[in-house]
Amino acid sequence: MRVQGKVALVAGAGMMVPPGGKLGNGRAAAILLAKEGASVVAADKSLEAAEATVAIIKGNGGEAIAIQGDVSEETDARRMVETTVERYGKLDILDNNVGIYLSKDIIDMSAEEWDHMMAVNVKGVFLVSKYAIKVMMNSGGGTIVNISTIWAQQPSPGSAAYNTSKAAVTALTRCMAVEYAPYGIRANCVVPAVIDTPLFDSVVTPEGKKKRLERIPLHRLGLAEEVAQAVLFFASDESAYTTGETLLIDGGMMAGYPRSY
Amino acid sequence: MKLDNRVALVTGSSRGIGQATALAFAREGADLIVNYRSRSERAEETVSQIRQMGRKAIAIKADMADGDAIDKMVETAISEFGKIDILMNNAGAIRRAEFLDISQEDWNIQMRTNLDGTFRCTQAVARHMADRKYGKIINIASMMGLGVNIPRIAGYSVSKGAIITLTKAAALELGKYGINVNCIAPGVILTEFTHEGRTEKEVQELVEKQEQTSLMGVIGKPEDIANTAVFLASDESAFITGQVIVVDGGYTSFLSHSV
Repeated sequence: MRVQGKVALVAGAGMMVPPGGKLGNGRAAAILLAKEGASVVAADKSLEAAEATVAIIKGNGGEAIAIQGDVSEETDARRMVETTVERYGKLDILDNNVGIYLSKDIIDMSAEEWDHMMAVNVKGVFLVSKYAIKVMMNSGGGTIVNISTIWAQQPSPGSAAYNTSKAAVTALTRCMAVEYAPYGIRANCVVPAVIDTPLFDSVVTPEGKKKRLERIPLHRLGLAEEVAQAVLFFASDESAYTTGETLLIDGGMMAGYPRSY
Repeated sequence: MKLDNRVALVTGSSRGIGQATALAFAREGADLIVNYRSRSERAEETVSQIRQMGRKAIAIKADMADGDAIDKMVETAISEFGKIDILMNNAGAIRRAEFLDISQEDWNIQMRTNLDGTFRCTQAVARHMADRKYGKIINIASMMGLGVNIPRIAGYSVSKGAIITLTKAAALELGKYGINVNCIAPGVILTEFTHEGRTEKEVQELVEKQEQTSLMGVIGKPEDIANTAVFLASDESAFITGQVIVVDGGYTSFLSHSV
């Protein structure tokens, strides 16, 4: 097992879906990390969603607890980390998976909507990481995996706040890598493109889905499980010499535009 | 295991990163074609280590600067193993010289080995993979290919930059055949290759400098590249194509560091 004996905090491990429905990226990562031997703290704004993730992990014979918390609140972010250490004695892996999306043109966006996006997607990563890094510094190291998006590099119209917030996440990842490498802490960023998740379903029309498929050289949507595999890679010692990196899970989208299939 | 029943061809696998990767693939269940140019004894050693793991392996001699030899190697590999699931284009040549002193001959050998070899091997193997609608191709570039240059290796850096572009171009066109094409850009990894064209003192200085300047405070090991290659060779990375994974201990994240 690839993260045997490690303790992982997955922020945004829930995402409510109908029973038997698709996995969100955070839940998929929590399940996979537990399968590979980690004790998982599944944190989510919705306790019910976090508990559902824990139930799946326990059903697989894994170890996990659920925590409710809003990453944009410093007290909650701090409590997530503290509870992890209280329960499991340490923190080795942090997966900052929390993310909200807003479809809105720039001229229609309110300052409040903008601030809320930045508070959850950027400040949330900063706050949870801040407390996690303090723990990792004192225990000889750790690994942080942040989740960005391909649209931060190649935006599509109508989601400026989301795209900008995710660009900030890649910058923040590099800053963490540079500041805390001397303490044995690695920080890397997984960059999904079009992944077949509940969030994707909720914001993209069937026609939009078809248009996106035409842009993907592998000609299919990605799976949350495939994002989770990249999180596991960065969480494990297999990537021991990689830090400050971004890895695209995009089916080849950024390699170019496939004209016809 | 991650690569059960797979057949992998690793070019330049008699030593260094190629050898470490061939062994890692075998550990994960793959059978191996060990390619080499001149070190037949080392290649046979690699083969016997793989066989000791209970996997099938053969060594095939082919110079990556020789397109016909590449075609022959691929033919032999397929007739021996029936298929190739994984190709890692690892073989490389380096010639160190000040820019003003680079000879055309040295320039050509780097382009022929590093770039033409990767192209020809990718094309030959991908034609076979396309028929089977499955394949994983992993190219070894270098952080020097990202424009993070150091002096005296212009030809090497240019050939590695071209490999990154080749990776993306091939990924774009081969995706429809179920072939993933990705690239690893190693930073400074301590291998026999590191010693080529350097004195022992220069190598020692490089190691010390790397320990001071890489974010992780260590020089890379061939296994660091091998582990990344296993990830890209496995189905865990099934939705990843056209990508470059930089394995450099954080070197390129902090460009104010210089070699």
